Amino acid sequence: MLKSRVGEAGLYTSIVMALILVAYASLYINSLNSMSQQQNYLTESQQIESLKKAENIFFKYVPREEAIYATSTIATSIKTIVIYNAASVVYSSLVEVELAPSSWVKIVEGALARLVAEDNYILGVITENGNLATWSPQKETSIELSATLLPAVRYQSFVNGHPKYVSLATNTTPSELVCDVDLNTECVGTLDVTFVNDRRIVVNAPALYADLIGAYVWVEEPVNITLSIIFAENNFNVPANITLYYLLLPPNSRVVDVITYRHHVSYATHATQPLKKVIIREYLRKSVVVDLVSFTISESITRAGTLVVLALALSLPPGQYPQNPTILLDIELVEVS
Amino acid sequence: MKGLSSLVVALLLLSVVVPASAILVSRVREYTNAVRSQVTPTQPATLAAYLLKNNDKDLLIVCNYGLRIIEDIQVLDDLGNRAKLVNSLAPKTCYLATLPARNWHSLIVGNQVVNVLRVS
Repeated sequence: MLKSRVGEAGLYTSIVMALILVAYASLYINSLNSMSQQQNYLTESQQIESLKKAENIFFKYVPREEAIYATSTIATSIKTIVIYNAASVVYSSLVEVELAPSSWVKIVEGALARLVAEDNYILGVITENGNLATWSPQKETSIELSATLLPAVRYQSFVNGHPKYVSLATNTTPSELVCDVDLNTECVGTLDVTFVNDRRIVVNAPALYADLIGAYVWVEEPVNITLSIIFAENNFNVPANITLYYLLLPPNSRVVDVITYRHHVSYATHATQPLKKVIIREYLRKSVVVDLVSFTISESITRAGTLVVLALALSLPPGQYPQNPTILLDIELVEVS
Repeated sequence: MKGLSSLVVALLLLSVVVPASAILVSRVREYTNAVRSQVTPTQPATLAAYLLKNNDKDLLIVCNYGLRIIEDIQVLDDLGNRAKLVNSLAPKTCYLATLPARNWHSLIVGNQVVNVLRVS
């Protein structure tokens, strides 16, 4: 009889314990779902903030058309247009105007454009990324940047003049494997880029294959650019040369082309469209070098909005290298005039 | 007799285990809530708001630059007055509202506050 009671008690206890376990499990699953959701929000927020920072809107007034045009450093769209002065708003409208780098789109024309061009009214546009850009020819209140770094970095090595190991990092995929362009299965390291802002990027890449690292600059007009380049290497036993080149991309190049572009970097090895060599530095082993280099881009910029490749080529003399040396490049536009 | 004694044993067991499990579950719930509140409790309010003077009124432009619908957006002035602005705002869209001229300085979305930038 005692055994029977103990058995019953065990049964009841098991049932109660099972209930408690189910309650715990549901709470735990609920907690995990919540954590996962927060992680998604965080990733989304980072991507959105990167787009916000990379987005710059530029305007111009074309008198013969009585029209105001706009362009952007990234693909975006205008959601709202307002025309106002200190006391009143003369025009406000929800719109849908797509903008793309390197192409100017008419956003306001006729009497409204004249208000801005001649009557001291200010044009304001709000983009899909929530940025407000304002402009008035008289006050020039728009964001005045004649050169900005774009959020994309290419990495390439060559074998017999042909691209071998390639990678591309953008603000949405800042860390990418460096893999064989043909096989895609053989990878030799990771290209990590931090897009700090539209003036600064930090690149960390496998050194042995780094024949060329290309960053992209959006140039509004002929400019004198001063770059601060911090070059650091580890595990080299020999000096390494780094060369800064630049290349104006063909007219109508867009950022989206740059991102999917393979061949323009290989132009570096063709005489028809060579990269322009700007400066050469020799950096010694185990060194961290801060260098200011200035150069002027004056030719071929006949229209506002030109993409320029800043190409930093690394050359290593033959020798024995330890496994997996990496290089660090910290590139900043410190002055644009 | 046997049935009665089993019932007594069962009642005794339940009288101990049920309150204990209730306390345990509530503690675990408190703990998970505390952990959740440390990791950003809700979806971020991806709103941008701009205020422009329009004669004796204000024009408020609110844009949702995020990827999710934002619901129940209210606007707050410096006297603490709240006004309901819009029930929901789709991703990548804006909303224009004409309001009485006041110092509308914040948007309220759930338990989050978004600054309103005065442009003119």
